[in-house]
Amino acid sequence: MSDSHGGHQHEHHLSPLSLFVKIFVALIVLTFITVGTSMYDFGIMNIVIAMGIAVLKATLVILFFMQLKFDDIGNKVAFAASFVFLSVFILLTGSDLFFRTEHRPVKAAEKAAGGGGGAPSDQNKLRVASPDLLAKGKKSYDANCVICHGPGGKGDGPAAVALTPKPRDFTSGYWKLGGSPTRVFHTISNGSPGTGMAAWIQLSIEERYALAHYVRSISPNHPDDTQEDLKVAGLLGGSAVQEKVAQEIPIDMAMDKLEVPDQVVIPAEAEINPQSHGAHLFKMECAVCHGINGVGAPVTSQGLNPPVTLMTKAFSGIQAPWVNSQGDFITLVSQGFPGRGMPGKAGFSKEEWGALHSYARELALSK
Amino acid sequence: MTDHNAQVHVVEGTNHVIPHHYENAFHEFDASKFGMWLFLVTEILLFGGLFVAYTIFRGLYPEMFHLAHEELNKGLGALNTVVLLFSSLTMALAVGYAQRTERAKSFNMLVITFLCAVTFLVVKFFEYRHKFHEGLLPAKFYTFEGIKHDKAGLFYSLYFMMTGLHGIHVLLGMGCIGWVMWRTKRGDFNKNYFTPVELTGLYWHLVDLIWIFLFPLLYLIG
Ligand code: HEC
Ligand code: HEC
Repeated sequence: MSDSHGGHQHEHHLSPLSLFVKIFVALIVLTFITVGTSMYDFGIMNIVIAMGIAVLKATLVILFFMQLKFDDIGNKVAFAASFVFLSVFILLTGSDLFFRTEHRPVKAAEKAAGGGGGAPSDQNKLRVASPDLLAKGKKSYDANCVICHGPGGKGDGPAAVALTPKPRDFTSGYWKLGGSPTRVFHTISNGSPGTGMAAWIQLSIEERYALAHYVRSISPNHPDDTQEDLKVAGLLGGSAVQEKVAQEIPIDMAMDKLEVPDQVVIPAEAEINPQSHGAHLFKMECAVCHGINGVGAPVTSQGLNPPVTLMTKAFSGIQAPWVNSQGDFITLVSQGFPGRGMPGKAGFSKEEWGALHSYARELALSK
Repeated sequence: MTDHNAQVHVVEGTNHVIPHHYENAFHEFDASKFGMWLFLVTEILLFGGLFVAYTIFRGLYPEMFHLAHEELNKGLGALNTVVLLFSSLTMALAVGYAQRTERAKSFNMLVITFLCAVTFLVVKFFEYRHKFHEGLLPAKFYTFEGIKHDKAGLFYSLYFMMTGLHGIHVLLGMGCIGWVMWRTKRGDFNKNYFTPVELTGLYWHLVDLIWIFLFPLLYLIG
């Protein structure tokens, strides 16, 4: 190709045939080595050795059997490019899968990433809305959340069409994971696993609280933190005081209570009692969809067209608001999850609610 | 330079007519070969998708891959590896002989290559039959009882997709080898024109190349 007429006047490269035999012998030896090493356990080195040998074998085949070593530069570049693209394909997908920030429940009291407002006492300040926080929240909301939740918080952002379940319409007043400041903060910090709602852990704690206040301000339903909320959030040590803790709890007093900040006190777990009344009700009313032990089972939602079959997840553990609040539990179960295959089930007596709640709670805590 | 509008160019010693848009036999050879390399690039990327799927699921369920791969027969896998490597050798020799106008030797090498391909598929057939028998099958067809992992069907989805697609390539390769055998017998090729042998060779080495990765990934380090 080098000649000035642009002609193709060259000789075909002739490799000595003995070269092929030598390469073959090398390939066979490498095959025996790779099979041999696979019989022993070198931990992570097994895959490194096996892939190293495979790459070596492949290189021999490409360079000598396929004669790429003696080939035109254009062919070399083209073939090498396929491996470059292949590694981009594998590395990018792999890095996305394996190095994405892990889903990890964040306790509000955690002195977590992002700086600012780490200590629980600061968080108790952040827990209370202020004009300053609301303004910050709006700014962050417009930057981060509008795409899904829409400018007015109606869940009608441009990306919403593509999402199932749909982003929350904050103006509906419905909270799946609780509407109190620490609950919403928790939702923003952890996302809603299995949905488009991601964990916004990269935002500072202050910014997440600001967002929580802002979305609560859009909602017609903005309950205060209850004693249980605070306990779950790690913002209260010790066992529960009966009366509702209002947000106006003096900061000093909160600080006193916060000697042991990160300790979530879970009341001692009861044994799961399969004979109880609650177990019976659960089996009759709930097990079809949630599985006998609340571990999840397939559900066909007939309300949707076309009907879809989905899998209920195992009950979320301690972090779900309903676990420690019978009120939340009753609201959740009697309303159901519209559009997600969980029908509302009401019509239980007070005792039955109690029995059902304690049984479902045991199931959720038993993992 | 020759005036290629005026006359038909036939490669010396063969019946092969150089299409008029090529300057000469080398030009044609280079262009054909470049086309083949580009095709091989797309093949690598085709299998690439499966390798990515493998990487992902292996990363997600390493213990399951370990359990599931133990049901594969390492011995048969290794046997097939040796068979394919040997067939690559004979293919390379077939091209080498074709380049030297040693038609009879080239033909014999092609025959051996073809027989290796048959051997490979026969071994694969017995492996598949065993898997079918045990219920080691993809996804929902998976019925094997011996592995305590509910995602084990996934490994066999990958196993059958990867080795199945590879097996189809072996079949196509056999078709090409058969065709080149026939043309060699007919005396179509000599040192000036052996492009089809060369290209079939490249394709066959690629089939070998892919197996070089499939074998350890599936049989050895699952
Ligand atoms: C990629 C789209 C998307 C983005 C961006 C997004 N969300 Fe969401 N969000 C969702 C979806 C989907 C749900 C519904 C989840 C569900 O039903 O479990 C949701 C639900 C919520 C909920 C309601 C949880 C409940 O208890 O009902 C809150 C609060 C929330 N998002 C806050 C935010 C905030 C604050 C931001 C910006 C930092 C944000 N979201 C950004 C998709 C998104
Ligand atoms: C027709 C099917 C169906 C029935 C019957 C049903 N559920 Fe559900 N339930 C669902 C679906 C779907 C969800 C959505 C969450 C998911 O995907 O796991 C859900 C979610 C829940 C949650 C929230 C899960 C969490 O992780 O926080 C609770 C609690 C719950 N159900 C309790 C009950 C109780 C108690 C009963 C019986 C009175 C019941 N469910 C009956 C389908 C059902």
